Amino acid sequence: MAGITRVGAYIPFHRLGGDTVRAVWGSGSPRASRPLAGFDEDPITMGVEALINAAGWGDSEVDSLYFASTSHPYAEKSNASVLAAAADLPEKLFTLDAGGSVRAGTSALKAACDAIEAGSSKSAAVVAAEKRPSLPGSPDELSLCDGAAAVLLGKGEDVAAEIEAIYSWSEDFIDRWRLPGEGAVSAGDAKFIQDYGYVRQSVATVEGLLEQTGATREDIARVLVYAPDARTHAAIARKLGFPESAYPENPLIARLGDSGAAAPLLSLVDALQGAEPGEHIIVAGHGSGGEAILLRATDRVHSLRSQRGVGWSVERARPIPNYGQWLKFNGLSPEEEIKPFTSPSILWKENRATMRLMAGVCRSCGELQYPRQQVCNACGARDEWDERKLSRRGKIFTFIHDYLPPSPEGFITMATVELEGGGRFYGQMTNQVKDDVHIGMECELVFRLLHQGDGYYNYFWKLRPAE
Amino acid sequence: MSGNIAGKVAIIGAGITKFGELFEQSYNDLVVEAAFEAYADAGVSGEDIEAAWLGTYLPLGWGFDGTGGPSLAEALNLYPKPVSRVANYCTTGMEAVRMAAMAVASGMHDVVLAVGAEKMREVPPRGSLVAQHVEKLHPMYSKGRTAPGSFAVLARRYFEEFGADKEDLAEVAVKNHYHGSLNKRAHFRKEITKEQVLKAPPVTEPLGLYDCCPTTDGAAAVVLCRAELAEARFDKKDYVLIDGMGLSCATGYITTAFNPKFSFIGFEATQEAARQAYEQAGVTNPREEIDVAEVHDCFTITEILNYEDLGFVEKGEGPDFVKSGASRLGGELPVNTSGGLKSCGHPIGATGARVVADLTHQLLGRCGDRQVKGAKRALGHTLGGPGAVSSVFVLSKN
Repeated sequence: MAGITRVGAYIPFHRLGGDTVRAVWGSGSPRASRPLAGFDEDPITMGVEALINAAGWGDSEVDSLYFASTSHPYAEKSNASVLAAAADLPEKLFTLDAGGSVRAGTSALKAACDAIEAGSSKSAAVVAAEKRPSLPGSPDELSLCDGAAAVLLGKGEDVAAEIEAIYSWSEDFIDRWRLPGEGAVSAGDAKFIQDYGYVRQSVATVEGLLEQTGATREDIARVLVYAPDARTHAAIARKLGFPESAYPENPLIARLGDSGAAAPLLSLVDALQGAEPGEHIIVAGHGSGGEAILLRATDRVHSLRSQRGVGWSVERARPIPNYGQWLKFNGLSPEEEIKPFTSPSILWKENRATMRLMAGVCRSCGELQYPRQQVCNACGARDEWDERKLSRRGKIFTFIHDYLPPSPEGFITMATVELEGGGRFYGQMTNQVKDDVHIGMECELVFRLLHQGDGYYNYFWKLRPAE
Repeated sequence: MSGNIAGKVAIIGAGITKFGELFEQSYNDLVVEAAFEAYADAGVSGEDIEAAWLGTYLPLGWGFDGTGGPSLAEALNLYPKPVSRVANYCTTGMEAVRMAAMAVASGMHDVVLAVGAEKMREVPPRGSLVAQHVEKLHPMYSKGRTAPGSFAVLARRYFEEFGADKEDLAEVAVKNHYHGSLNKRAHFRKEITKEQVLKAPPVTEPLGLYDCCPTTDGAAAVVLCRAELAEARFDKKDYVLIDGMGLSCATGYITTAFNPKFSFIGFEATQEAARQAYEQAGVTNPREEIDVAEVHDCFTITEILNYEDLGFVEKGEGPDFVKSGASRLGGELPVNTSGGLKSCGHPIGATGARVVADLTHQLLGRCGDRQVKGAKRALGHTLGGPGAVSSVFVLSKN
């Protein structure tokens, strides 16, 4: 039976605090703390980090990749293929971008599961990521959550949580929606969409699964349902009627906010990392109908605990210093215009070096060179290279804080890092605390949006403190 | 190296424009002013010039002109002579002189002109300095790198390894601004204090505003001829001879900071270019044998590294060298009596030619308040492409 073999999650470290919002708008819960994608983060970069947390970097045999989001950076052009390159997945790969509904995460999970069951895929990765759109001063700016989750699916001994059943149904229903190009989500009549949308539909989704499988409420250890806010989550839970212990004590919707299509998978990853063997778990996605998935944790479920999940990210949370930063992160304050040079043909030619960080090792003299030249810079041999992937971890050799380039933070920290296993990487730092940066600091390379040269996204690796 | 330039080429004329933000002058105006000053100094006219080299680093980046030889031929009416443009990062102007000198040494030409020119302030400083790095270059590698950033990484590493600090760097700025105050062609002619340097806003930590050279317009030119002709044809009693010249490309432009062998405490390019020049000139103890030097102080840290890379002092001793006053006017080896890039200014393509022209004036005793008395032998140095390439000249009075 198909099941989940590995998990990963990533929640951006930045937090927009309720007190920060209150200082500007005079309202907003002072306890609120919204995870906020940095200016160099989007669903692709967050998805890459979650995927690497789940699958490792280039040592998986994933043959199909499903990328769910309602906020895919590209409306036209594959988003999943960027994830595949940055996570160094094999090139023989099926990719699919799933979107259109906050249900896309569970829908993608179903599609992947079906492919495993059908034998067309041996190892599938499902990634769901969101950078949730919200306008300044709107309640959404504190209630939404950016982030990403990833699960790997397969069959056999590696399975940590078997997928026993999936129930799907469809009903056209307008609760929340967004038209192309709009910067915020619209919502219908609050009372109507809560009672007839979230509560009624979620109950129908979960009860449909129970009916399909013959499971009873007492069989289920954990129930994870989607809701746009904590109040609605509580209403759904009451109506569903599972024992109180089946619901997370402090659900992610209350802890972090509404992460859209990523929410069910984030909840699932978090639940699986706390699950005991034998537990049954239901995770449900919502949107014009819904999906409910029944899983059973196997003896291997504890193996998921060591992977970077929600807890790992949350431990690193840090409030942004002021409201202006949030405006800048979202391009809502005027910035000096820069037009970084880029070129699709360069990006394509050098894809293995820039996305997969492939260096060259000279067959004649053993020199490791990155970026690699055709002619070895040590011995002069021409085209005598073996590819070797750089390590993504190293220590700062030297660094600076540069105030010249325009940047939402007012400066860019650049560092040269000596990588474990050889080679150096020179580039921008991210998520650094300026005064903490020092020679010898441990850093890891993380995939980030470098700039939007020529109107498309240019992604590359940045250095993040790893201490 | 199988050949030797020593004694073969004479510098018989030098011209330098005022350096600064020259909004009233065009690129061609600068070229004409520098070249005609050099003609007048040499006692030649355009008709005597057999061939010419133009050094301009980035023609279409901030100005319009200087893309090729015709830019110079047009400005000076050198039609239809062989004129070429060279570019080699911040050694560009020196490279124009080197090409011109080799053409004379080869016997191909008797009298030639080398001009370095850069018109940087047709756009705001950010348009030139920041845009070039942040906007251009490879789409991925080094994005975010700036000129001060490329040298500040060395400052940080140098501090780490030798315990130097920002106060040491400030000594260079104070000295060069003092020298610049004595140079009527310098961009900045005001002395500054160490406190001002240390309190200046950060540009690229650990470098502050006064650790950085300005964005400057300017041009310089020299007339070279076969050494025998200096007196025989042009009646020169006093002139300057090229004793040695070296050029080294020791690392890549973008890849320097990725290179595990790059020390970040000095420049192999400078060391190698100096080795070549010293070998030709027969210099074995530069600190003793050089009387005056112009070195590439694009940033204060660079001057300290240069002292060491050029062999004036051992690695790690640069800060003490400047603190002791050795490199100040009146010291044992005055460095950057023009004010250097720091205070005289750094129009990229002009700088190398300006260094040669300025040292020519020093060796011929024309520098007034900033004259190094009795200077017989001079060293000029430029460094470009964050340390990828360096050029060194050794000059002497005939």
